[in-house]
Amino acid sequence: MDHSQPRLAIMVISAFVALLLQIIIAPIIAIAHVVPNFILIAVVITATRNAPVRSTIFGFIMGLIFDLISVGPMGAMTLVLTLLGYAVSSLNKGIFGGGLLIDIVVVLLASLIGELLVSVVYAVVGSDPEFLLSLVIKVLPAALYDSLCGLVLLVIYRFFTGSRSTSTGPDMGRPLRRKLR
Amino acid sequence: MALSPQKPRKITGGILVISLSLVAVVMLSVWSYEGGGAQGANGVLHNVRSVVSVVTVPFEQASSIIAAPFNAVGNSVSNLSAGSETLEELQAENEELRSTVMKLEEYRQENERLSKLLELTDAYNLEAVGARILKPSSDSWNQVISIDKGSNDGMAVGMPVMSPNGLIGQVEQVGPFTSVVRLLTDPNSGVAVFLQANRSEGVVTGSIEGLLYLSYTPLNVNVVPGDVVITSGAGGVYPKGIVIGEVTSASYSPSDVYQTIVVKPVARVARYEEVLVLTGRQSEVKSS
Repeated sequence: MDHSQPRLAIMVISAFVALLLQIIIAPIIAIAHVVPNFILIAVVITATRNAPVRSTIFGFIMGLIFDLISVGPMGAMTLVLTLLGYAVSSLNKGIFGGGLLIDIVVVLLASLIGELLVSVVYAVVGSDPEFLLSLVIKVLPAALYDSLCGLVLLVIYRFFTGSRSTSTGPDMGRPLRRKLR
Repeated sequence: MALSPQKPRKITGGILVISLSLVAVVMLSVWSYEGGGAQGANGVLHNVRSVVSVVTVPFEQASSIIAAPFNAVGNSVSNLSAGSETLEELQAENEELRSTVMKLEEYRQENERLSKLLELTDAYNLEAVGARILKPSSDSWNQVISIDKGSNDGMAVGMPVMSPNGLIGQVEQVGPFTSVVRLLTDPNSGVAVFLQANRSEGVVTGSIEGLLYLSYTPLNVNVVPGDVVITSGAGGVYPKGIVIGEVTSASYSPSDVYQTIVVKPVARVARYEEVLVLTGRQSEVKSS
């Protein structure tokens, strides 16, 4: 049975919901200039349930959309979410192996690493002149906020998609597991 | 034999992430080459963003509509929390302001008479267009607001944006129907200013923590809390004489070359729903 089409539909719906949340809701629920990054959360959560190739492409597209609708350096979020999508999916498949608790840990860590990477990219292109200060004032609060929103969305995502790992897509995961068995 | 079909698949994933990352890096390089921010307004990537902004207009307006009741509740709660002591302070301040306004009105009329006498024309010709704030920034890293006026309404990159109280920022990105304004409190903002009391010049810059800092003020300049900071007109972007804020603290250590001065902005964007965009032609604004 081919699960790729429903999974693709879920990704598209996730992308659309994340985009709406980012444009409409995120600015409203900002606390002290810290805005939750729903697009980053969407990439991380979908990466926990999909294969690396698909997660990488999804991260790239979502990052590009984020860059197009924001005013920061163009390509910054594209780069970060491409790397994050690939890393989360690869690690989740190869090392962690799924499960709610693991997914929660992954969301927490990925939020922190994602915001940290954004800060690094901003510092490299000169858009963040106060890198060390921003680690405390922006990165940590933003990661915390992302994590909180991510946990809520993770539960919702699992409710709609089921708790079974769907990361047996057309690319690398399943053949390797079969061979190992 | 058994492992041979898997290797290309793994390499595909690796190659894909490297390829897409390179695309992102190229975009970053092009963006930096174009100048970033308002400087690269005519660049390819900036233009692509302007086009995309058309698509997001309905969503931004939706955000504005959804946020409106929350803002109203927030203001009401804020007003309710003002105690009797605060009320007395405000009444005293109000009386003082009334007195100041009367004096200023007198000065204004005097100034008007003198100007007519000297046949001076208005140096700035500051025509302003009102715009409604659609939403604040969608990310944590940029202190910007979206407004509901775009190039179809005469907006252009670089135009100063004011609230009823003073300067709040500069138009950075313009789409057909909306524009993005980078606030003064953003770390990438900067404006040439002087202190009203002693005409000492400096540059006010934003910061990651949302405060304004006045830089390049020598140690020998006497700066006290309450000193008013206004635009100097140097640099040609902002007209001269617009109020930025007032000094809240000034300090330095013996090894410093300049003072560390914190400025409290008079215009807090969160309080407003509308702003004024100074649409005077660039040549006129620059002539200041």
